[in-house]
Amino acid sequence: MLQPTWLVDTLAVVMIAISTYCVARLVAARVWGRALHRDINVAHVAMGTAMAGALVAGFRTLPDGAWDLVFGALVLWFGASAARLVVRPAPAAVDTHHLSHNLTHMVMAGAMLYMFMETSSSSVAAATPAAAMSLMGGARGSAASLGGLTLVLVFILFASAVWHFDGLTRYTTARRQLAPVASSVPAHGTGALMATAVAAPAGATTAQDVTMTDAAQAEQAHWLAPRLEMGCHIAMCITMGYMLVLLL
Amino acid sequence: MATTSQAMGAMGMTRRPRSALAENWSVPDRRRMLQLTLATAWLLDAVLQFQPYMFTRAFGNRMIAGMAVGNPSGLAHQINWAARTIAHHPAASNTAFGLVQLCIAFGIAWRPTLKLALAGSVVWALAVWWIGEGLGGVLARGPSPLTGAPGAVVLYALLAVLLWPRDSQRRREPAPFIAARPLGAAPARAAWLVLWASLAYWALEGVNRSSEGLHNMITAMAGGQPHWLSSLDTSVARVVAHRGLEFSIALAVVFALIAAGTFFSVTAARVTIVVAVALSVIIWVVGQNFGDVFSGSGTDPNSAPLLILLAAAFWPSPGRAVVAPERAPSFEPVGI
Repeated sequence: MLQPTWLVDTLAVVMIAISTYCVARLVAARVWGRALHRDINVAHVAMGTAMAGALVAGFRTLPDGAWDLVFGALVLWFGASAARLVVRPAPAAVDTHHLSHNLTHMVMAGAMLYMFMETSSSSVAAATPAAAMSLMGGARGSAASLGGLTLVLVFILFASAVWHFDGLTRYTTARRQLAPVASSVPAHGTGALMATAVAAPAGATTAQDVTMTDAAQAEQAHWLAPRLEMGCHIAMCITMGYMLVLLL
Repeated sequence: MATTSQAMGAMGMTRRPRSALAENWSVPDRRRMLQLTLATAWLLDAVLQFQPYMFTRAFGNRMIAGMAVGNPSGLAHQINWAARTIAHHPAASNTAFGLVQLCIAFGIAWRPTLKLALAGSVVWALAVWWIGEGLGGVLARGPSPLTGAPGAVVLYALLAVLLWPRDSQRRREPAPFIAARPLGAAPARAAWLVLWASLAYWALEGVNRSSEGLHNMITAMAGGQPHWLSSLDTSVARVVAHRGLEFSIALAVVFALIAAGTFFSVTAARVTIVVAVALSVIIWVVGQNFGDVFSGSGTDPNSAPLLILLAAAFWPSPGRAVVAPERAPSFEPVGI
Protein backbone atom coordinates (compact mmCIF):
# COMPACT_ATOMS: atom_id res chain seq x y z
CA MET A 1 0.00 0.00 0.00
CA LEU A 2 1.68 3.17 -1.17
CA GLN A 3 1.32 6.64 0.23
CA PRO A 4 -0.52 9.19 -1.87
CA THR A 5 2.22 10.59 -4.05
CA TRP A 6 0.97 14.16 -3.91
CA LEU A 7 1.42 14.15 -0.15
CA VAL A 8 4.94 12.77 -0.04
CA ASP A 9 5.95 14.91 -3.00
CA THR A 10 4.63 18.01 -1.26
CA LEU A 11 6.47 17.15 1.91
CA ALA A 12 9.64 16.51 -0.05
CA VAL A 13 9.36 19.88 -1.79
CA VAL A 14 8.85 21.59 1.56
CA MET A 15 11.89 19.81 2.98
CA ILE A 16 14.05 20.81 0.02
CA ALA A 17 12.84 24.39 0.32
CA ILE A 18 13.71 24.43 4.01
CA SER A 19 17.14 22.96 3.36
CA THR A 20 17.80 25.54 0.67
CA TYR A 21 16.60 28.34 2.91
CA CYS A 22 18.78 27.17 5.79
CA VAL A 23 21.82 27.05 3.51
CA ALA A 24 20.95 30.60 2.45
CA ARG A 25 20.67 31.60 6.11
CA LEU A 26 24.13 30.25 6.82
CA VAL A 27 25.63 32.00 3.83
CA ALA A 28 23.79 35.26 4.46
CA ALA A 29 24.73 35.32 8.11
CA ARG A 30 28.35 34.88 7.18
CA VAL A 31 28.27 37.50 4.45
CA TRP A 32 26.37 40.02 6.55
CA GLY A 33 28.32 39.17 9.69
CA ARG A 34 25.25 38.23 11.67
CA ALA A 35 24.91 35.96 14.65
CA LEU A 36 23.06 32.75 13.87
CA HIS A 37 22.34 29.33 15.36
CA ARG A 38 24.75 27.60 13.04
CA ASP A 39 24.35 24.13 14.50
CA ILE A 40 20.58 24.37 14.20
CA ASN A 41 20.71 25.46 10.61
CA VAL A 42 23.26 22.83 9.67
CA ALA A 43 21.04 20.22 11.33
CA HIS A 44 18.00 21.51 9.45
CA VAL A 45 19.86 21.30 6.15
CA ALA A 46 20.88 17.71 6.84
CA MET A 47 17.46 16.65 8.07
CA GLY A 48 15.59 18.34 5.24
CA THR A 49 17.79 16.82 2.58
CA ALA A 50 17.70 13.38 4.15
CA MET A 51 13.93 13.42 4.56
CA ALA A 52 13.39 14.59 0.98
CA GLY A 53 15.59 11.74 -0.19
CA ALA A 54 13.70 9.25 1.91
CA LEU A 55 10.33 10.49 0.72
CA VAL A 56 10.98 10.62 -3.00
CA ALA A 57 12.36 7.53 -4.64
CA GLY A 58 14.12 9.36 -7.45
CA PHE A 59 15.95 11.80 -5.24
CA ARG A 60 19.35 10.33 -4.41
CA THR A 61 21.25 12.05 -1.67
CA LEU A 62 24.08 10.36 0.18
CA PRO A 63 25.18 6.73 -0.14
CA ASP A 64 23.79 4.13 2.23
CA GLY A 65 25.22 4.50 5.69
CA ALA A 66 26.42 8.07 5.24
CA TRP A 67 23.31 9.56 6.79
CA ASP A 68 23.74 7.28 9.79
CA LEU A 69 27.12 8.90 10.38
CA VAL A 70 25.80 12.41 9.86
CA PHE A 71 22.92 12.00 12.31
CA GLY A 72 25.05 10.06 14.74
CA ALA A 73 27.42 13.03 14.80
CA LEU A 74 24.51 15.45 15.29
CA VAL A 75 23.18 13.39 18.18
CA LEU A 76 26.58 13.53 19.81
CA TRP A 77 26.90 17.26 19.14
CA PHE A 78 23.57 18.22 20.64
CA GLY A 79 23.96 15.69 23.45
CA ALA A 80 27.33 17.14 24.35
CA SER A 81 25.95 20.67 24.19
CA ALA A 82 23.09 19.70 26.49
CA ALA A 83 25.47 17.99 28.91
CA ARG A 84 27.68 21.06 28.90
CA LEU A 85 24.71 23.24 29.80
CA VAL A 86 23.71 20.90 32.61
CA VAL A 87 27.20 20.85 34.07
CA ARG A 88 27.91 24.52 33.54
CA PRO A 89 24.80 26.61 32.87
CA ALA A 90 25.70 29.48 30.62
CA PRO A 91 24.61 33.00 31.45
CA ALA A 92 21.76 34.31 29.45
CA ALA A 93 23.26 35.71 26.32
CA VAL A 94 22.43 36.35 22.75
CA ASP A 95 24.12 33.32 21.31
CA THR A 96 23.31 30.92 24.11
CA HIS A 97 21.16 27.93 23.36
CA HIS A 98 19.04 26.42 26.03
CA LEU A 99 18.80 22.92 27.34
CA SER A 100 15.41 22.26 25.76
CA HIS A 101 16.76 23.47 22.44
CA ASN A 102 19.66 21.05 22.53
CA LEU A 103 17.58 18.15 23.76
CA THR A 104 14.89 18.71 21.14
CA HIS A 105 17.41 18.68 18.34
CA MET A 106 19.18 15.71 19.82
CA VAL A 107 15.86 13.86 19.70
CA MET A 108 15.28 14.99 16.12
CA ALA A 109 18.70 13.82 15.02
CA GLY A 110 18.16 10.59 16.95
CA ALA A 111 14.82 10.10 15.22
CA MET A 112 16.47 10.52 11.84
CA LEU A 113 19.18 8.05 12.78
CA TYR A 114 16.55 5.61 14.00
CA MET A 115 14.55 5.93 10.79
CA PHE A 116 17.54 5.29 8.59
CA MET A 117 18.63 2.34 10.67
CA GLU A 118 15.12 0.89 10.57
CA THR A 119 14.77 1.28 6.83
CA SER A 120 18.24 -0.07 6.09
CA SER A 121 17.73 -3.09 8.34
CA SER A 122 14.26 -3.75 7.01
CA SER A 123 13.67 -7.09 5.47
CA VAL A 124 11.56 -5.36 2.88
CA ALA A 125 13.41 -5.57 -0.40
CA ALA A 126 13.30 -2.00 -1.53
CA ALA A 127 15.55 -0.07 -3.81
CA THR A 128 15.41 3.14 -1.81
CA PRO A 129 14.47 4.26 1.69
CA ALA A 130 11.37 5.80 0.17
CA ALA A 131 10.26 2.51 -1.26
CA ALA A 132 11.04 0.80 2.01
CA MET A 133 8.99 3.33 3.91
CA SER A 134 6.14 3.06 1.48
CA LEU A 135 5.98 -0.67 1.82
CA MET A 136 6.47 -0.62 5.55
CA GLY A 137 3.80 1.98 6.02
CA GLY A 138 1.26 -0.19 4.35
CA ALA A 139 2.17 -3.40 6.07
CA ARG A 140 -0.23 -4.87 8.58
CA GLY A 141 1.40 -4.71 11.96
CA SER A 142 4.23 -2.52 13.09
CA ALA A 143 7.21 -2.35 10.78
CA ALA A 144 9.40 -0.70 13.37
CA SER A 145 11.27 -3.05 15.63
CA LEU A 146 10.87 -0.59 18.50
CA GLY A 147 7.29 0.51 18.12
CA GLY A 148 7.11 2.03 21.58
CA LEU A 149 10.17 4.16 20.93
CA THR A 150 8.69 5.28 17.63
CA LEU A 151 5.53 6.42 19.38
CA VAL A 152 7.50 8.31 22.02
CA LEU A 153 9.51 10.07 19.31
CA VAL A 154 6.31 11.03 17.51
CA PHE A 155 4.87 12.52 20.70
CA ILE A 156 8.02 14.52 21.39
CA LEU A 157 8.19 15.86 17.86
CA PHE A 158 4.55 16.87 17.76
CA ALA A 159 4.73 18.42 21.21
CA SER A 160 7.74 20.42 20.08
CA ALA A 161 5.91 21.55 16.94
CA VAL A 162 2.88 22.68 18.92
CA TRP A 163 4.99 24.35 21.59
CA HIS A 164 6.95 26.35 19.05
CA PHE A 165 3.83 27.24 17.13
CA ASP A 166 2.46 28.71 20.34
CA GLY A 167 5.69 30.66 20.73
CA LEU A 168 5.59 32.08 17.21
CA THR A 169 3.44 35.01 18.29
CA ARG A 170 6.33 36.21 20.43
CA TYR A 171 8.18 37.08 17.29
CA THR A 172 5.47 38.63 15.21
CA THR A 173 6.57 42.03 14.09
CA ALA A 174 4.28 44.97 13.70
CA ARG A 175 6.63 47.06 11.62
CA ARG A 176 10.24 47.07 10.76
CA GLN A 177 11.24 50.68 10.96
CA LEU A 178 13.11 52.08 13.90
CA ALA A 179 11.37 54.18 16.49
CA PRO A 180 12.98 56.54 18.94
CA VAL A 181 12.19 55.79 22.56
CA ALA A 182 13.11 57.44 25.79
CA SER A 183 14.14 54.37 27.70
CA SER A 184 17.04 52.11 27.09
CA VAL A 185 17.02 48.42 26.37
CA PRO A 186 15.53 46.15 29.07
CA ALA A 187 18.28 44.69 31.14
CA HIS A 188 16.82 41.25 31.64
CA GLY A 189 15.91 38.33 29.49
CA THR A 190 17.32 37.01 26.30
CA GLY A 191 14.31 36.54 24.09
CA ALA A 192 14.35 39.99 22.58
CA LEU A 193 18.08 39.90 22.42
CA MET A 194 17.84 36.71 20.52
CA ALA A 195 15.09 38.15 18.38
CA THR A 196 17.34 40.99 17.40
CA ALA A 197 20.53 39.03 17.44
CA VAL A 198 20.11 37.95 13.89
CA ALA A 199 19.85 41.58 12.95
CA ALA A 200 22.94 42.60 14.84
CA PRO A 201 26.22 42.91 13.03
CA ALA A 202 28.54 40.49 14.76
CA GLY A 203 31.20 43.13 15.24
CA ALA A 204 28.96 45.99 16.26
CA THR A 205 30.18 47.61 19.42
CA THR A 206 29.18 51.22 19.10
CA ALA A 207 26.25 53.21 17.94
CA GLN A 208 28.05 54.06 14.75
CA ASP A 209 28.25 50.42 13.88
CA VAL A 210 24.54 50.19 13.57
CA THR A 211 23.97 53.24 11.51
CA MET A 212 23.64 51.25 8.36
CA THR A 213 20.55 52.10 6.45
CA ASP A 214 17.41 51.06 8.22
CA ALA A 215 16.02 49.50 5.13
CA ALA A 216 19.00 47.23 4.59
CA GLN A 217 19.08 46.28 8.22
CA ALA A 218 15.39 45.54 8.28
CA GLU A 219 15.71 43.50 5.14
CA GLN A 220 18.47 41.40 6.67
CA ALA A 221 16.52 40.97 9.88
CA HIS A 222 13.50 39.95 7.86
CA TRP A 223 15.27 37.13 6.07
CA LEU A 224 17.06 35.89 9.16
CA ALA A 225 14.15 36.30 11.57
CA PRO A 226 13.95 33.74 14.38
CA ARG A 227 10.32 33.03 13.56
CA LEU A 228 11.40 31.67 10.18
CA GLU A 229 13.82 29.34 11.92
CA MET A 230 10.98 28.28 14.20
CA GLY A 231 8.75 27.75 11.18
CA CYS A 232 11.38 25.46 9.67
CA HIS A 233 11.58 23.59 12.95
CA ILE A 234 7.80 23.09 13.06
CA ALA A 235 7.65 21.81 9.48
CA MET A 236 10.56 19.46 10.19
CA CYS A 237 8.88 18.06 13.29
CA ILE A 238 5.62 17.37 11.47
CA THR A 239 7.27 15.75 8.46
CA MET A 240 9.54 13.66 10.63
CA GLY A 241 6.57 12.66 12.79
CA TYR A 242 4.66 11.62 9.69
CA MET A 243 7.54 9.48 8.49
CA LEU A 244 7.77 7.86 11.91
CA VAL A 245 4.03 7.19 11.87
CA LEU A 246 4.55 5.33 8.61
CA LEU A 247 7.03 3.15 10.46
CA LEU A 248 4.55 2.34 13.23
CA MET B 1 29.24 40.89 20.97
CA ALA B 2 26.84 43.78 21.02
CA THR B 3 23.35 43.55 19.71
CA THR B 4 21.47 46.06 17.70
CA SER B 5 19.27 46.71 20.71
CA GLN B 6 22.19 47.45 22.95
CA ALA B 7 23.84 49.68 20.43
CA MET B 8 20.65 51.52 19.69
CA GLY B 9 19.95 51.80 23.37
CA ALA B 10 23.09 53.84 23.61
CA MET B 11 21.69 56.03 20.88
CA GLY B 12 18.39 56.48 22.65
CA MET B 13 16.72 54.39 20.02
CA THR B 14 15.55 50.87 19.95
CA ARG B 15 14.01 48.58 17.44
CA ARG B 16 10.26 48.26 17.71
CA PRO B 17 9.75 44.95 16.02
CA ARG B 18 7.10 43.42 18.20
CA SER B 19 3.42 43.41 17.40
CA ALA B 20 0.64 43.71 19.95
CA LEU B 21 0.45 39.93 19.91
CA ALA B 22 4.08 39.65 20.84
CA GLU B 23 3.82 42.31 23.51
CA ASN B 24 0.89 40.52 25.12
CA TRP B 25 2.54 37.13 24.96
CA SER B 26 2.71 35.45 28.34
CA VAL B 27 4.35 32.29 29.60
CA PRO B 28 1.91 29.38 29.24
CA ASP B 29 0.11 28.78 32.51
CA ARG B 30 -1.19 25.35 33.50
CA ARG B 31 -4.36 25.68 31.49
CA ARG B 32 -2.43 26.76 28.43
CA MET B 33 -0.13 23.78 28.85
CA LEU B 34 -3.16 21.50 28.83
CA GLN B 35 -4.52 23.28 25.77
CA LEU B 36 -1.22 22.69 24.02
CA THR B 37 -1.34 19.04 25.01
CA LEU B 38 -4.81 18.88 23.51
CA ALA B 39 -3.42 20.48 20.35
CA THR B 40 -0.69 17.83 20.28
CA ALA B 41 -3.34 15.11 20.44
CA TRP B 42 -5.21 16.73 17.55
CA LEU B 43 -1.96 16.94 15.59
CA LEU B 44 -1.34 13.25 16.15
CA ASP B 45 -4.90 12.55 14.99
CA ALA B 46 -4.35 14.60 11.87
CA VAL B 47 -1.13 12.85 10.95
CA LEU B 48 -2.64 9.42 11.61
CA GLN B 49 -5.42 10.44 9.24
CA PHE B 50 -2.82 10.81 6.48
CA GLN B 51 -1.70 7.18 6.72
CA PRO B 52 -1.91 5.28 3.43
CA TYR B 53 -4.74 3.04 4.62
CA MET B 54 -7.04 6.02 5.10
CA PHE B 55 -6.79 6.95 1.42
CA THR B 56 -8.25 3.62 0.36
CA ARG B 57 -11.89 2.61 -0.01
CA ALA B 58 -11.39 0.33 2.97
CA PHE B 59 -11.48 3.35 5.24
CA GLY B 60 -15.11 3.95 4.35
CA ASN B 61 -16.22 0.43 3.53
CA ARG B 62 -14.65 -1.29 6.51
CA MET B 63 -13.71 1.18 9.20
CA ILE B 64 -16.62 3.60 9.04
CA ALA B 65 -19.19 1.03 7.97
CA GLY B 66 -18.03 -1.21 10.79
CA MET B 67 -19.29 1.37 13.26
CA ALA B 68 -22.84 0.69 12.15
CA VAL B 69 -22.78 -2.84 13.51
CA GLY B 70 -24.92 -3.20 16.62
CA ASN B 71 -26.29 0.33 16.50
CA PRO B 72 -29.99 1.17 16.14
CA SER B 73 -31.15 1.03 12.56
CA GLY B 74 -31.62 4.79 12.20
CA LEU B 75 -28.07 5.51 13.30
CA ALA B 76 -26.70 2.56 11.34
CA HIS B 77 -28.38 3.87 8.20
CA GLN B 78 -26.71 7.25 8.61
CA ILE B 79 -23.31 5.67 9.26
CA ASN B 80 -23.64 3.45 6.21
CA TRP B 81 -24.56 6.42 4.06
CA ALA B 82 -21.47 8.28 5.29
CA ALA B 83 -19.32 5.19 4.75
CA ARG B 84 -20.50 4.86 1.14
CA THR B 85 -19.89 8.53 0.48
CA ILE B 86 -16.38 8.34 1.89
CA ALA B 87 -15.62 5.15 -0.01
CA HIS B 88 -16.65 6.80 -3.28
CA HIS B 89 -14.21 9.66 -2.74
CA PRO B 90 -11.59 8.26 -0.38
CA ALA B 91 -8.73 10.60 -1.28
CA ALA B 92 -10.74 13.81 -1.24
CA SER B 93 -12.71 13.01 1.88
CA ASN B 94 -9.72 11.78 3.82
CA THR B 95 -7.65 14.78 2.83
CA ALA B 96 -10.44 17.03 4.04
CA PHE B 97 -10.67 15.14 7.34
CA GLY B 98 -6.95 15.36 7.90
CA LEU B 99 -6.80 19.05 7.06
CA VAL B 100 -9.67 19.87 9.40
CA GLN B 101 -7.84 18.17 12.25
CA LEU B 102 -4.61 19.90 11.30
CA CYS B 103 -6.41 23.26 11.38
CA ILE B 104 -7.87 22.45 14.79
CA ALA B 105 -4.45 21.48 16.14
CA PHE B 106 -2.71 24.63 14.98
CA GLY B 107 -5.74 26.76 15.71
CA ILE B 108 -5.49 25.76 19.35
CA ALA B 109 -1.74 26.31 19.35
CA TRP B 110 -2.10 29.79 17.78
CA ARG B 111 -3.42 32.04 20.50
CA PRO B 112 -5.48 34.43 18.37
CA THR B 113 -7.51 31.51 16.99
CA LEU B 114 -7.80 29.51 20.20
CA LYS B 115 -11.52 30.04 20.81
CA LEU B 116 -12.43 29.49 17.18
CA ALA B 117 -10.43 26.26 17.09
CA LEU B 118 -11.86 24.96 20.35
CA ALA B 119 -15.41 25.72 19.18
CA GLY B 120 -14.65 24.08 15.85
CA SER B 121 -13.21 21.07 17.62
CA VAL B 122 -16.44 20.60 19.55
CA VAL B 123 -18.52 20.66 16.38
CA TRP B 124 -16.10 18.39 14.52
CA ALA B 125 -15.75 15.98 17.43
CA LEU B 126 -19.49 15.61 17.86
CA ALA B 127 -19.95 15.03 14.12
CA VAL B 128 -17.24 12.37 14.10
CA TRP B 129 -18.65 10.83 17.26
CA TRP B 130 -22.01 10.51 15.61
CA ILE B 131 -20.97 9.27 12.18
CA GLY B 132 -17.41 8.07 12.54
CA GLU B 133 -17.69 6.33 15.88
CA GLY B 134 -21.39 5.45 15.99
CA LEU B 135 -21.80 7.43 19.21
CA GLY B 136 -18.93 5.47 20.66
CA GLY B 137 -21.07 2.37 20.72
CA VAL B 138 -23.07 3.58 23.70
CA LEU B 139 -26.32 2.62 21.98
CA ALA B 140 -24.93 -0.73 20.90
CA ARG B 141 -24.80 -3.77 23.13
CA GLY B 142 -22.05 -3.80 25.70
CA PRO B 143 -19.73 -0.91 24.92
CA SER B 144 -16.53 -1.52 26.81
CA PRO B 145 -14.58 1.20 28.60
CA LEU B 146 -11.50 -0.89 27.94
CA THR B 147 -11.84 -0.52 24.20
CA GLY B 148 -12.63 3.17 24.26
CA ALA B 149 -16.28 3.72 25.18
CA PRO B 150 -17.81 6.32 25.14
CA GLY B 151 -15.53 7.17 22.23
CA ALA B 152 -12.30 9.07 22.20
CA VAL B 153 -13.60 11.88 20.09
CA VAL B 154 -16.33 12.93 22.51
CA LEU B 155 -13.61 13.45 25.10
CA TYR B 156 -12.01 15.97 22.77
CA ALA B 157 -15.24 17.93 22.87
CA LEU B 158 -15.45 17.71 26.65
CA LEU B 159 -11.85 18.86 27.00
CA ALA B 160 -12.46 21.78 24.67
CA VAL B 161 -15.27 22.94 26.93
CA LEU B 162 -13.39 22.42 30.19
CA LEU B 163 -10.27 24.13 28.85
CA TRP B 164 -12.18 27.03 27.31
CA PRO B 165 -10.17 30.21 27.87
CA ARG B 166 -12.53 32.10 30.14
CA ASP B 167 -12.98 32.30 33.87
CA SER B 168 -16.30 31.97 35.56
CA GLN B 169 -17.45 35.35 36.86
CA ARG B 170 -19.62 33.87 39.57
CA ARG B 171 -16.85 33.06 41.95
CA ARG B 172 -14.29 35.22 43.61
CA GLU B 173 -12.01 32.58 45.01
CA PRO B 174 -9.47 30.74 42.87
CA ALA B 175 -10.77 27.73 41.00
CA PRO B 176 -10.01 24.46 42.80
CA PHE B 177 -8.75 22.91 39.56
CA ILE B 178 -8.20 23.96 35.97
CA ALA B 179 -11.36 22.37 34.61
CA ALA B 180 -13.44 24.49 36.99
CA ARG B 181 -12.30 27.78 35.50
CA PRO B 182 -14.68 28.24 32.59
CA LEU B 183 -17.93 26.88 34.07
CA GLY B 184 -17.27 26.60 37.78
CA ALA B 185 -16.46 23.63 39.97
CA ALA B 186 -19.92 22.08 40.19
CA PRO B 187 -20.57 21.60 36.46
CA ALA B 188 -17.02 20.36 35.95
CA ARG B 189 -17.36 17.84 38.76
CA ALA B 190 -20.71 16.76 37.35
CA ALA B 191 -19.11 16.09 33.98
CA TRP B 192 -16.35 14.06 35.65
CA LEU B 193 -18.92 12.12 37.67
CA VAL B 194 -21.10 11.31 34.69
CA LEU B 195 -18.13 10.20 32.60
CA TRP B 196 -16.53 7.87 35.12
CA ALA B 197 -19.83 6.57 36.47
CA SER B 198 -20.76 5.69 32.89
CA LEU B 199 -17.53 3.75 32.57
CA ALA B 200 -18.41 1.89 35.78
CA TYR B 201 -21.83 1.07 34.40
CA TRP B 202 -20.51 -0.16 31.06
CA ALA B 203 -17.89 -2.29 32.77
CA LEU B 204 -20.75 -4.35 34.19
CA GLU B 205 -23.03 -4.32 31.19
CA GLY B 206 -23.83 -7.21 28.90
CA VAL B 207 -20.99 -9.23 27.56
CA ASN B 208 -18.41 -7.28 29.54
CA ARG B 209 -19.32 -9.11 32.73
CA SER B 210 -19.39 -12.56 31.21
CA SER B 211 -16.72 -14.97 32.35
CA GLU B 212 -14.94 -14.87 28.99
CA GLY B 213 -15.84 -11.34 27.96
CA LEU B 214 -12.60 -9.66 28.97
CA HIS B 215 -10.52 -12.57 27.75
CA ASN B 216 -12.11 -12.56 24.31
CA MET B 217 -11.85 -8.81 23.97
CA ILE B 218 -8.15 -8.70 24.84
CA THR B 219 -7.37 -11.71 22.68
CA ALA B 220 -9.10 -10.09 19.73
CA MET B 221 -6.96 -6.98 20.19
CA ALA B 222 -3.73 -8.97 19.98
CA GLY B 223 -4.07 -9.67 16.26
CA GLY B 224 -1.96 -7.44 14.02
CA GLN B 225 0.01 -5.94 16.87
CA PRO B 226 3.80 -6.01 17.32
CA HIS B 227 5.09 -9.17 18.91
CA TRP B 228 5.84 -7.59 22.28
CA LEU B 229 2.36 -6.13 22.51
CA SER B 230 0.52 -9.22 21.34
CA SER B 231 2.54 -11.27 23.84
CA LEU B 232 1.48 -8.90 26.59
CA ASP B 233 -2.13 -9.12 25.46
CA THR B 234 -1.99 -12.89 25.42
CA SER B 235 -0.52 -13.00 28.91
CA VAL B 236 -3.15 -10.66 30.32
CA ALA B 237 -5.92 -12.53 28.52
CA ARG B 238 -4.70 -15.71 30.17
CA VAL B 239 -4.92 -14.08 33.59
CA VAL B 240 -8.49 -12.85 33.12
CA ALA B 241 -9.74 -16.02 31.46
CA HIS B 242 -12.78 -17.42 33.26
CA ARG B 243 -12.63 -14.50 35.70
CA GLY B 244 -14.44 -11.92 33.63
CA LEU B 245 -17.09 -11.18 36.23
CA GLU B 246 -14.62 -10.67 39.07
CA PHE B 247 -12.42 -8.36 37.04
CA SER B 248 -15.42 -6.45 35.72
CA ILE B 249 -16.72 -5.85 39.23
CA ALA B 250 -13.29 -4.72 40.42
CA LEU B 251 -12.99 -2.41 37.45
CA ALA B 252 -16.45 -0.97 38.05
CA VAL B 253 -15.62 -0.30 41.71
CA VAL B 254 -12.44 1.54 40.78
CA PHE B 255 -14.27 3.56 38.12
CA ALA B 256 -16.95 4.46 40.69
CA LEU B 257 -14.35 5.59 43.21
CA ILE B 258 -12.70 7.72 40.57
CA ALA B 259 -16.09 9.18 39.64
CA ALA B 260 -16.56 10.38 43.20
CA GLY B 261 -12.92 11.38 43.58
CA THR B 262 -13.23 15.07 42.86
CA PHE B 263 -15.79 15.46 45.64
CA PHE B 264 -13.32 14.27 48.28
CA SER B 265 -10.77 16.27 50.23
CA VAL B 266 -7.80 17.63 48.33
CA THR B 267 -5.50 14.79 49.37
CA ALA B 268 -8.04 12.11 48.59
CA ALA B 269 -8.85 13.80 45.30
CA ARG B 270 -5.19 13.78 44.36
CA VAL B 271 -4.90 10.08 45.16
CA THR B 272 -7.98 9.47 43.06
CA ILE B 273 -6.52 11.40 40.14
CA VAL B 274 -3.30 9.40 40.37
CA VAL B 275 -5.33 6.18 40.33
CA ALA B 276 -7.29 7.46 37.34
CA VAL B 277 -4.07 8.18 35.47
CA ALA B 278 -2.55 4.80 36.36
CA LEU B 279 -5.70 2.95 35.33
CA SER B 280 -5.87 4.91 32.08
CA VAL B 281 -2.28 3.94 31.28
CA ILE B 282 -3.06 0.27 31.89
CA ILE B 283 -6.19 0.49 29.76
CA TRP B 284 -4.26 2.26 27.00
CA VAL B 285 -1.65 -0.47 26.86
CA VAL B 286 -3.71 -3.59 27.38
CA GLY B 287 -7.28 -2.73 26.41
CA GLN B 288 -6.64 -0.25 23.66
CA ASN B 289 -3.17 -1.28 22.45
CA PHE B 290 -2.11 2.36 22.14
CA GLY B 291 -5.13 3.16 20.02
CA ASP B 292 -4.22 0.45 17.51
CA VAL B 293 -1.67 2.83 16.00
CA PHE B 294 0.75 0.00 15.27
CA SER B 295 -1.67 -1.58 12.83
CA GLY B 296 -1.47 1.18 10.25
CA SER B 297 -5.18 1.82 10.58
CA GLY B 298 -5.47 3.65 13.88
CA THR B 299 -7.12 7.03 13.50
CA ASP B 300 -6.42 8.29 17.01
CA PRO B 301 -4.65 7.19 20.19
CA ASN B 302 -8.07 6.21 21.62
CA SER B 303 -9.64 7.45 24.83
CA ALA B 304 -7.04 6.67 27.50
CA PRO B 305 -4.61 9.55 26.77
CA LEU B 306 -7.56 11.92 26.81
CA LEU B 307 -8.70 10.54 30.15
CA ILE B 308 -5.21 11.28 31.44
CA LEU B 309 -5.40 14.82 30.09
CA LEU B 310 -8.82 15.20 31.67
CA ALA B 311 -7.46 13.96 34.98
CA ALA B 312 -4.70 16.55 34.78
CA ALA B 313 -7.36 19.24 34.37
CA PHE B 314 -8.96 18.08 37.61
CA TRP B 315 -5.75 18.03 39.64
CA PRO B 316 -6.52 20.09 42.76
CA SER B 317 -4.48 23.23 43.15
CA PRO B 318 -5.43 24.60 46.57
CA GLY B 319 -4.13 27.89 47.75
CA ARG B 320 -2.93 28.93 44.36
CA ALA B 321 -4.90 31.13 42.11
CA VAL B 322 -5.20 29.67 38.67
CA VAL B 323 -7.28 32.52 37.38
CA ALA B 324 -4.81 34.98 36.01
CA PRO B 325 -1.97 33.73 33.89
CA GLU B 326 1.39 34.95 34.93
CA ARG B 327 2.57 37.80 32.79
CA ALA B 328 5.87 36.91 31.31
CA PRO B 329 8.79 39.17 31.25
CA SER B 330 8.73 40.84 27.89
CA PHE B 331 11.71 38.90 26.75
CA GLU B 332 11.80 35.23 27.44
CA PRO B 333 14.37 32.79 26.14
CA VAL B 334 13.11 30.63 23.37
CA GLY B 335 13.76 26.97 23.18
CA ILE B 336 14.59 26.51 19.56
